[in-house]
Amino acid sequence: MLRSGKSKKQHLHESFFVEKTNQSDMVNKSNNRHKHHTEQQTSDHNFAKDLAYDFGGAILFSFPLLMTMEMWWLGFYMDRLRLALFLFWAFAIVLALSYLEGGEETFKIEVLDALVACATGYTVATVMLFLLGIIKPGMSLDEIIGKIALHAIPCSIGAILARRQLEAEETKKEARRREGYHAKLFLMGVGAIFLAFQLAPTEEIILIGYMMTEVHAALLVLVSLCMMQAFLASIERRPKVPIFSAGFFWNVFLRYTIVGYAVALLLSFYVLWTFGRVDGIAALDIVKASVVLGFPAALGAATARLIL
Amino acid sequence: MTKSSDKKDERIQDAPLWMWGIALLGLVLVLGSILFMLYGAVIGDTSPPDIVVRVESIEDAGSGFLVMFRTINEGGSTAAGLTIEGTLMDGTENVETSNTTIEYLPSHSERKGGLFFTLDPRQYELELRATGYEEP
Repeated sequence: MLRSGKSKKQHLHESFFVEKTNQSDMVNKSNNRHKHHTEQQTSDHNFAKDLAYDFGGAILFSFPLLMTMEMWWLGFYMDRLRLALFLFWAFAIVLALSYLEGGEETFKIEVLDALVACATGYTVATVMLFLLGIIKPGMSLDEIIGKIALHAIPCSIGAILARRQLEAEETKKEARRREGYHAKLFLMGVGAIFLAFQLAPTEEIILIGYMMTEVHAALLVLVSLCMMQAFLASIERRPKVPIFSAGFFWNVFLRYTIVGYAVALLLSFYVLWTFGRVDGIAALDIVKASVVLGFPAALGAATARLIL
Repeated sequence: MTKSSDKKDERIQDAPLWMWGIALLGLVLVLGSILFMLYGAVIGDTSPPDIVVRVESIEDAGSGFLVMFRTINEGGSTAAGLTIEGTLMDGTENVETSNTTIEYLPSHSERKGGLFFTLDPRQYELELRATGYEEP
């Protein structure tokens, strides 16, 4: 199943379809694929390995933001109440992802996983910010804690996603949890917020909004929707249902694309508001900025189940 | 989640103590940072920037002179695009002016910078002050 030269994403993608057609078949293949893992496994669950994956994921998912200067500045000047709210939602996302990624675990272990991911996230954020010279002596406690807390968000989400990313083994229970409509919408939301988060701190989002006319914005909405529809149609594809039929098109469009795009737009606005990017800006420009950020957010939402 | 799926009855029941220690650390960090931000939002200092500029050293630099300074924001808000102006005064006469911009000076923090002069600042009366900023 796993041929060398096949990318990780393709691999995940493929396993997803196989799992759709025949779940037990997929599990068998998955087991073969990870035979070396299962053979190595002792009766004790290897927590040290999980922790190592957490660190890997935290770094992998967060370094673009660690190297974005607007993120360092937001760490000290963004509104404290909005940051507190954002930190709260980030923890809720980590907890929910722990539940969705959790295969064969008790609730207690899922909470443990989420908290360990957060501890890893804060550690990675602190070490990396020191290492890159972004935190230095002479800075106030408020500045240092603000920078660490803000960067810990992508680090913590990266940590909780790591085990799935770095060791793509989907158990039956995990697959069942991820199959529900609400779980799918939630994952779309996480994908949207994650990509929106990568771009929202930059000046460019607002600048592009200023440069675009209303016609550009309307076309971008259309392109975002088409792009989402294409990705989601391929993900939602069922065997024996023709992918180019009107029934299938509307089913995907109404159930996923339009709902997913609404989620992506709302989350784009929320992230822009959190970073104070829409303060004192005219309503039309807020809409345009949300549509601009909504493009990467829609991409994140549509591909979330492939990459998360 | 690293459990193999054919052993689905074997749920992971508990974790070693050190893992719970890390989880506790995570809880403290998450709650701590949220509470710290709420504290900052509710009781925090929101006074406007209060800028102090201090001369650190005066050195020869190529054909001119370099005045190294340290600027401290004692106010509760961040100053963005903070302009620092240095003037050399000979009595009441302004003989030379130099200026620079500090991109961001957060509250209760300090940043360092330098101003170049062609005349020796040690021969004149050197004045450093912040001239303006914008809200980030």
